[in-house]
Formats: sequence, C-alpha cells, structure tokens
Amino acid sequence: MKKDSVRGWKDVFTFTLTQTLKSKTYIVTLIIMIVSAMISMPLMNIFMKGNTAEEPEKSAVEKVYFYNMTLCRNIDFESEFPESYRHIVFEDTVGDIKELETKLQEEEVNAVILTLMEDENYCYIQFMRSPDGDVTNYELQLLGQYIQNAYTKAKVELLGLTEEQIKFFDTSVVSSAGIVDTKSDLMIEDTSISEGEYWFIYGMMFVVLMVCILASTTVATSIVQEKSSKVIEYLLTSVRPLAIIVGKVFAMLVTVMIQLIALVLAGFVSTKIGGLITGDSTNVITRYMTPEMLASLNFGNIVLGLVTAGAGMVLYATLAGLCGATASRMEDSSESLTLLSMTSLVGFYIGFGAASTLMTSGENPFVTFALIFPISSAFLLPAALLVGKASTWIALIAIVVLFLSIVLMFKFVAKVYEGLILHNGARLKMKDVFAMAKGTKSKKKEENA
Amino acid sequence: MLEVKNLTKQYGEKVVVDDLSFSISEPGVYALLGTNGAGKTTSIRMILGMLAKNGGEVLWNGKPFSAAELNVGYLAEERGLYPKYSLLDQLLYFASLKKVPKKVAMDRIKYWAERLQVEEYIFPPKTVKGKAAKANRADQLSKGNQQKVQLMAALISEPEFLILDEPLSGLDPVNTDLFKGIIREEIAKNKYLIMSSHQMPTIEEFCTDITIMNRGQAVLQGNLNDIKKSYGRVNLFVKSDSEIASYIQKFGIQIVEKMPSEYHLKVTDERQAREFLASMMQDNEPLVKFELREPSLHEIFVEKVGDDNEER
Repeated sequence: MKKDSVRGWKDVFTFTLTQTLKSKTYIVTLIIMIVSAMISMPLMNIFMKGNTAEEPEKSAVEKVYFYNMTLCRNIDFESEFPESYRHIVFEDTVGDIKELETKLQEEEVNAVILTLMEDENYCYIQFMRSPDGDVTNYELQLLGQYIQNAYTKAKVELLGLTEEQIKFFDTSVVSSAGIVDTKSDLMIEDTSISEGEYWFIYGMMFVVLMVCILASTTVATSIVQEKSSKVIEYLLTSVRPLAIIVGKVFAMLVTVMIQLIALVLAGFVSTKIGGLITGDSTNVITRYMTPEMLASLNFGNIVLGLVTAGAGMVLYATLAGLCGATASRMEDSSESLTLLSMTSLVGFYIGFGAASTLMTSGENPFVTFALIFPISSAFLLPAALLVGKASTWIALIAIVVLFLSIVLMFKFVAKVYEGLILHNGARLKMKDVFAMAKGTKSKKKEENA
Repeated sequence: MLEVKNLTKQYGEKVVVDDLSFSISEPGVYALLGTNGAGKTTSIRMILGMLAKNGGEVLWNGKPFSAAELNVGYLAEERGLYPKYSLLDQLLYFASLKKVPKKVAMDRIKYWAERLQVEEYIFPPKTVKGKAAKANRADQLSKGNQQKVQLMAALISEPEFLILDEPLSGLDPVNTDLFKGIIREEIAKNKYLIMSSHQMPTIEEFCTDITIMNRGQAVLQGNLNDIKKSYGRVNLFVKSDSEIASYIQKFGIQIVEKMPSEYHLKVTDERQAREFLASMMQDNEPLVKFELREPSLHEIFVEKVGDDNEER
C-alpha cells in the first residue's frame, strides 16, 4: 500500500461528508434521533412515576378495620409506618365483614378492611376499599409493604430472635471460584457480572452493531451507486480506488460520530428536562447503574471505548466497500452485503456469548478472546470497558489488533479493488474476489470487467 | 509525447488487447477505431492506469504515464454523473480531484456553462415563483445536457491530454456542431487528444493518425493520409445522362455499387480511369460527374474488420 494509493482521499472524504450531511435522509434521520432522545427521558420519568408514584404527604386512608387471622397478636404497625401513615387508626375486628363492607360504601369511604392470614407456605395481606373514596391501590400497596415489615418483625419477636441474629440470618451468600496458588494464599476473585451489567453490555453491543451496519451499508451503497452510474470512471482518472474507499469510510465514520454525539447531547439535555419535569435530580440511567459501573465510567475508558467502536466501524465499513464493489447494479447491492452481515452477526454473537459467560462464570480465556478478536471486540470491548470488565491493557491490545486488521483489510482491498471496481455484469462471489487476490480470477468473470 | 508500447491485457486465456503499440509525437488527435469489443475502451483504461496491464508500458515524455500526475481529461463512453447530487457540487468535486482551486473552478464552470448553454441547470435561479428553487440534479437533465456537463467535467482542469470516447454519440446536429467547435479549439491549443468513435466522418474530420483494432490487435496503423494514399485513388464515381454500362464492361472495371444514375466503380489504377474517361469523352457521352478518389475511412475500416466480424 503506497502513499500514492490513497492520494486524493481527502477530496473524496470532503465531498462524501458534505453530500451526506446535506442529504434529506441523513437530516431527517438525525432529527428523528435527536427528537426521540430528547423526549425519551421525560417520557420514561413520567411513565416510571406513574408506576412508582411517590408516597403521598398524608395517606388518604383514615381507618383500618383489621381482621388478624395469624398467630401474631401484638403487631406494632406504627413503628414501621412513615409519618404520612401514622394518622391511620387501626381497629381490630372480628365481626361480620358484610356489615363492614356496607359501612365502607355508605359512610366511611376512606376506611379500608385489612385481612391478615397465614398458612404453612404463605402470608396473605388483603385490602378492601370503597369505590367512592380517595384511597388508591398504589397507596394500599405501600401500606401493604409497611404492614408486611411490621408483621415480619412481630414474627421475629414471637420466635425470640435478637437483632444480631436476624442480621446474621440475612447475610448475603456470594459464591465464587478461585485458583489454588501453591506459593501464596487461596486466590478468590469474583469476576462475574450482575444481570444489570449483562443487559448494559447487551444493549451497548446492540447499539454498536446497529451503527456499524448502518455506516457500512451506506458505504457499500455509495460504492455501488458510483459503479452503476459510471461516475467511477471519472474518479479513477484522478484518484486510486483505495483513496475512494478510504475517503468514503472516514466520511461515514464522521457522519456516524456526529449522530452519536448529537444523540449523547440530546440524551443529556433530555435527562435534565426529565429531572425538571419530575423534580427528581437522579436520572433514569444512574438509577439503574451499579456503583461499579459508575466507577468505570471515566474519561479514559470512554475514549478507549470510542476508539474501539470507531476502529470497528472502519473495519466493517472497509469490508462493506469491498462487498459493494462486487456488485455493479443497485439491485445487487443488498445481496452483495451477505459477507458483511454474516461477519457482523458472528462478531456480535461471539460478544453475546462472552457477555453470557461473564455473567455465569466470570472472566475466562473465551472472554479474553472475544475482547481481542477484531470482529467481536468492536462490539464487546466498549461495553466491557464501561462496566470495568476489560483492563486498559486488554483494550490497548484489542485496539492494536483492530488497527492491524484494518491495515491488512486495506492491503487486501487495494489488491482486488482495481479489478472489482470496473467489473460490470453479474455480482462477483467472494471466491472470485479471493481468486483475484491470488491473480487467478476466473476467465469468465474477468471478461466482464 | 505519448508512447504506448506493447500494451497487453489478458483475462485468463483470452487476450483482449494484444501487443498494442502506437505513439503520439505531436499535438493533435489520434484515433482509436474498432468494432464493439475490439479492445478500445480496455486500452484507454490501461493507458489511464485504471486497469492493470499484463504487459507493456505507457510513457509520457519518456517517463511512466500517470493520469493523476499529468493533467488528463476523460470523457468516458459510459457517461456518469451522480444522479441525485447538485450538478455544481459534482463539477466542483471533479475539479478538486484535479487540484483546481475552487475559485478558478468556479470561473471555469461559469465559462463552460455559458459556452455549452447549460447555465440554467448548473446555476438555477434562486427562486421560482417566489419559492426557493432546488439545485438541479443530473437525473433531471436530458441525455444531451448530461453529456455537456460531462464534457465540462473533462475540460474543467484545462487538461493537456484529453481522451474522448465516443464524444458525439447521441447528440443532435446543433450540439454536435457545438462539440466539434470545442474539439477544434482544443486542437488549436496544441493539445494531445485520443478519440474513439464509430462515426468515421468525424474521425476523418479531426484525426491525423489512426489505429484500427480488431479482436485486441492493431490491424492498421499510421497517418490517415498516408494510409489512404497507400490504397491509391481507385474509387471512381461516375454519373451520366446516358447509360455507360458498355464502357464499364469494355474496360473490365469492377462495379462496387450501382445507384439510380451513378456508378461507384473500382479501377485498377489511375491510368485505367484516364483511359475510361478519354473513351467516353471521345464519344461525347453527357457526363455529369467523374470523381476519382482515395477510399474513405469507412471503406478502409470495413475492409479491415468487416469480413472478420461477419465470421463471428
């Protein structure tokens, strides 16, 4: 790959970038993405507020008629209640429930009937309320939680357990596997990820996959369009084929980065708006992120993640350029992308497998392989870095491997692209492309060039 | 000076360009002729460096030819413009690839747009009926106008070497004259041109030297006048108010074509033609036309590649 091969790539880059940024499709997509991101957080906050409504300042429940059908007789509800529930009057009841129901419907619309039952397996907390009162089901759910706490405490007291004994009983059990080191102590290290981290990795991998496919498809379509419209012949009098593909790939990378940055900024603004609407300073993302995840979310990891994702996009977009060059008609373009789709899916599934392995068994050689292997590292590594499951060294090795793969891909593309780009007629298969690289392209296919 | 030496292109077993050599030592138009599939476009692509060669070399002033380094203009046979992009953007892009500064490119685009009468497409009015007008795109142009824009793209860098592959195909007579005028101007500027065309009168009008290709090989090469002279003036066109068949028979002259009141004959040499004329003049035959001339390029072309192609 000589310097001459890429001379003029900046002109291709500038033109492709300008035309893409000016294109209606891009502008409309960007606007939709920004608007979606802007409204997502406020909507999520509103919906989540609907589902997890805040506690009322003062509960609408005024009185509780309590049918206690358990062995616990002295349940101290008040000690477990927050201030907003402490005004509630509890009245132990043993009478006819039908009479009470009539009373609730006609007179005490803000009173509720509570039945507490237990058997060998379960404890049941059942509420009945008037349809005409101010009491909501949500309030009763909250009230149920406090009653459950008070009931549990009463059971513990009944059994004669101390606070310390309860604490000891409640201690979490963490299982882990370690390697016996004969020279030192038993090494125990928990490297597995939580379910939340797993879904975070999965979500991020999916986003990177989508972005990669979007950018790569755009590059391939652009190449096929230049071939089918014969513009390529003009371009080749000024620049080498490799300069065309390099210019296009980097232009697409920039357009995708612009989209991503716009998305992140819109998300940031959206979070702030969401907070203003709900009056909640904590955003939805931080609510679901573990402290470990937040600790790994530093500048260095973000940069490494972006570099990896960017390099992955370059790798996939170059492959897409190669795939696109095998077709000379627009109708063949989607078929020509089979190799790209397969490779990206294989990469994604390797990453997916590694994420699952991380959750179940923690770090192992397969995970390390997936973090370094170029077709999967582009998807897995950015997310793994952000949850603290990839060290800086692994990231640097993966980036070096990715860059080497890109150079090799460029070299291969430079070798075959010249023949491919002037090819007309039926779509070339990959075996023809490899034969071309070896200089043994089939006669029939060559004749079409 | 352009030298093409032993240019060869092979696809598998098939040789599509076989040992092609020619040179253009002086400014002017060199013609590459041949039937469809003769290897002209492949040769042009190899000269321009778009296509890898299996053998041979292309030199410009003794050094390897590089289209990127030399200022080359190319009007391809298969015309191409981005269908959905603004025409002005495309022309500026082609200029930037040729390292033409934007301001200079803009001036040249204005000049050529006016010259080729495509200003309204390249610089559309900013408003139409009070609304902002959209920039024109290639897919909104007629074929002829697209060809004009493509010629602009080829000329925008003021190339010193120009390759025109079928430049006049698909043009109406008015635009044909417009293109011919521009080609004449380029020749007058002492530029080197290679032209490929199936329109033999056009080639005869512009070209000094030719190569006729058939199945990848050069079957005839040289200066067009010298080639014609080598054939001799054996084409005789005779028109008379009376029937002259008996004279033709008497001299044993070959009839190429008999038209309503004219014969196209082939004499063995000029002496036979003179004797034929003298005989008719002696008998006071009412001759209207007696023209002895060299074969046309069309005839030479058909002679060189016609039979071979019929066999295919």
